[in-house]
Amino acid sequence: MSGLQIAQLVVEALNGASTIVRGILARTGHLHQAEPYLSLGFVGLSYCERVLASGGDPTQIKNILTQPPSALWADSGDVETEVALIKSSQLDHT
Amino acid sequence: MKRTLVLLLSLFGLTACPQGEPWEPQDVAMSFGSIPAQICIKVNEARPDMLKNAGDAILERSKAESWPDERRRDAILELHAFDNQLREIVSPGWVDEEGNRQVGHCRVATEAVEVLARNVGDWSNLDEEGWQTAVSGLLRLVNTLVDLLEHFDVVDVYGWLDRQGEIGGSGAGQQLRTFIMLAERFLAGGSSGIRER
Repeated sequence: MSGLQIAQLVVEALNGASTIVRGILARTGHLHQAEPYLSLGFVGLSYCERVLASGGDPTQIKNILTQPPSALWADSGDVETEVALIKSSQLDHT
Repeated sequence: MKRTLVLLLSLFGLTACPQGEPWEPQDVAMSFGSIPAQICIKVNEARPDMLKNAGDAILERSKAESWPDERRRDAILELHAFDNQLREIVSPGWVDEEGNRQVGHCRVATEAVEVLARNVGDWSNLDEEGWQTAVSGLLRLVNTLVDLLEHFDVVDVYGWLDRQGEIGGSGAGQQLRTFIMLAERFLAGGSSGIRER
């Protein structure tokens, strides 16, 4: 069984019967550690799927997916605000 | 059993992924704000074209169906009202009619998640209430976004989002689907979904 097939099985287990995964983790005493990932760890999962499937650059993918929102918004450019401010300023002068 | 567990934990990012660096809890938490932020930014970039295309579609239909002027005007005004609602969600910022500077809801919500994410050292001392509030707010926001996009001559919203570009190697629509699914799962688990039952 390939790594990708294993990954797909885990995804199916998470989507359809996550109690099975929880059961395995509970029996081995790792449920406490793994529970947040079962709830929040979608990126980790898709990231690993992608690594297994395509052999892409995992570091780059991780960096893209975990960029701080404040930096993203700042980079997006507050153009609309600035344009409106300029228009507003021009109106004040007329 | 141990081998299976290691595989599972690898896939969850609890240990190093094959060929990659491990995902720390803070990375996973940050992605919860980063992905919706990237989606909102893409939608905001597409807004001018969306508005034009939807407006053109209304004009074409009004000609083909010989709408009265009033009906055509109402349809255009309604479209602009939807665009205003969309702007309130996805724009980084704008100045309202009273000249007050406003910040987009998506920016506020995702930066709030960022603050929470920066405080995630490990999963054992998570701000559960803060996360519940932030994730439920963000989920409402993206669901509203999807509803709004349907008013812009967009037949398949997720397919359209996929065509706006990739986020981390997957289409924006696919990433949004995944985000919604996991946010719902997270919220359905309640606080006990974060800590050991």
